[in-house]
Amino acid sequence: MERSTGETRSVVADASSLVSLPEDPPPSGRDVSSTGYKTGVVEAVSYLDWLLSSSDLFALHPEAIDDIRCSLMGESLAHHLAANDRYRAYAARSGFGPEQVEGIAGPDDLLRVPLLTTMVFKATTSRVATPTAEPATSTTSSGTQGTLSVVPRDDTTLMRFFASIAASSRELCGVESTRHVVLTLAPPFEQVDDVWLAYVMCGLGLSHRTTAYVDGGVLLLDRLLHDLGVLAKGDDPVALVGPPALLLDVVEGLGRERVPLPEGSLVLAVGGWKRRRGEAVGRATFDGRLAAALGLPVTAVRDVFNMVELNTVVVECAEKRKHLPPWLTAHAREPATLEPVPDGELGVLTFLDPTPTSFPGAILSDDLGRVWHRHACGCGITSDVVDIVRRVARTESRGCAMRVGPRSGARAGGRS
Amino acid sequence: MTLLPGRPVVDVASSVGRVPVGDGWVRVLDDVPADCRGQVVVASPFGMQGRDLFPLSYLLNANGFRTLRFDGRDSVGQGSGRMVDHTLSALVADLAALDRHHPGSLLLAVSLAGRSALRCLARGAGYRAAVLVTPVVDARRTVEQVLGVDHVGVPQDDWPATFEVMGHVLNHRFLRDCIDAGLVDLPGSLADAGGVAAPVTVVAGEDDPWVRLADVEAVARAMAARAPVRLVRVPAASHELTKNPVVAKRFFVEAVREALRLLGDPAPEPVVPTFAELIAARSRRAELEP
Repeated sequence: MERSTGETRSVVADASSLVSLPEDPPPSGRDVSSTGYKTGVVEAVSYLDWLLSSSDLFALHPEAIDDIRCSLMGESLAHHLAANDRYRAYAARSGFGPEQVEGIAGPDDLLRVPLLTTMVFKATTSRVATPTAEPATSTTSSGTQGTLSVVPRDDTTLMRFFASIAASSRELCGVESTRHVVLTLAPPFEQVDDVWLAYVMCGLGLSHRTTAYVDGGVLLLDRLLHDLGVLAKGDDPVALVGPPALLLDVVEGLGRERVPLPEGSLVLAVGGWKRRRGEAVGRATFDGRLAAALGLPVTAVRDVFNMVELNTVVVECAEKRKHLPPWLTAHAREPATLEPVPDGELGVLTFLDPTPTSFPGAILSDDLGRVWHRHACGCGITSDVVDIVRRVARTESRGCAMRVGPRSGARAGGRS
Repeated sequence: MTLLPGRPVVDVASSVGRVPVGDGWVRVLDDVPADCRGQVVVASPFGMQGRDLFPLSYLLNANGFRTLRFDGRDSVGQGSGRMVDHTLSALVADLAALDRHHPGSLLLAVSLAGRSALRCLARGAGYRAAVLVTPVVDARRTVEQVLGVDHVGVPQDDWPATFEVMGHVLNHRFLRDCIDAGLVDLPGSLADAGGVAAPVTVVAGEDDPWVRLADVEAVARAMAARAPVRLVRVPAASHELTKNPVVAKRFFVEAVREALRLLGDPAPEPVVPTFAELIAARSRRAELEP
């Protein structure tokens, strides 16, 4: 994938070199006698937004991805350090500032970026919000972990999130906005109650034919089963999207009946087991039951990872590996020191996401997991992949806090 | 709830209807805002139907335009016929019918629909003006870029039984019609452009891998021989607007700005709803256009 204006260019290391208007743009609004028509030139699309609208994102060379991540995260950090007083002050306490941003030359430099824990998102946006010219919409976590996280998303941030859905769902799952009918196990807009996941499912309606099947907290099982039956007779592929517990409720509702969905259909599990954690089944069992009920191959049952503080979705391929898109950086780190652990080892997951403009996308999550860099997957994609294992237990998190002592010898990029 | 935008969602009176065309019909989604100042027929890109252009339609509604989105014949959606039989000529006829049914409209066409729009305008349709967004002016080249094969360049006997284009299966009618009707390449577009008398604005991306800017410029020059023409370039932008709402917004805002300009506003500043407002507005229309 290359940017081209009549000649081939390699994927750039310095993204800023691309965001420029032509040197001698034609005069706007005046007749140009050689052409006979009037001209106008508008503001260029940013490199990140150009990337988010490109194809073959998961075919990029790993070295190009390193360059992209460093460049885009550098731009993002420069924006937040300049505009977000609290983040700037917090970063300064770690010795991180504009000079360190300028010095980001390779992936290792990104390990120094000061991270925000989910704690600073609790209850208010005031600790994290970066002021922008656009109004911000605030959404929350589901609240199953206690106090709600509240995350401000301005329009650009929100649009880029949905671009991340489009990119990953298309390239990893074959979802086409013009073909797939989306059935969400989620409430309608009026009942979303600011919850991020439910809001996202409503937002899918802008790009897909979408129907919601939760009302008043109750799954509209009969209506869903009826509609599945109708869709099964047609040609349009179906994307059934919802929390795993509700997806299994659909299987239970079918009983011994089978509803073989059209070719290209798939199931996307989102949001985790939450309050129904006690009902969780193993992955193979889950996939097998859904695939059998809906006449799908088990490869069509995928998990999607997101957290309200993360502005990018991470989607599974047919091999059940969660591939990071090229703009997103993830590490698994030792909880006490935040040193990165080797590939495949368990650590607390951190993310560096340049897409949000209304809050810094440098996140120390509450999740333990594993990361493999430049993993050559059986699906054909070589990329960083992440495996989410479990939430950090509260005793562990308290323990982590007690083990974090003076920062001597530890990398900058600690927790706030 | 904090998710509702600060502005009230634009209030439109919406209805669904049909316009007969030949032996079939197109299905029309008609949205009329209060204080309507003009009306726009909105032609969707290949493989998309009227409901898919809700964001553009809403943006137009917010600026006082009645919008007439439609599902064409032999296309996706609820027009008559089947997508497998899709042709650009059918869309030309659909646009002409909509012009007769809704006289005095602006025409806004996106991507491949722009080629049909160009033909329709060249044949003297009564659209008062047109905005063409990322118009395909060399269908042969665009199809080759999309499919990776130049089917037009090989004998028809060597064509596969069907083509899959962006997830939609087409039979030979599409390519056959393109060739026979002179809709397939740049010379055909240039010929049509020379026959356009209505004012036209083209909004084109500078980094479009499917449509060369130089070709669009050539068509603009050809149109300018008879009509007032404006070409708005969007630097660093590609073609598939559905992938990133940020890019789609850039094009659509310019399209609406030009629609306002074509209505006589010398320095138009479009009202631009937020994305959050779009989500709220779309959710309210789930019953009418699922």
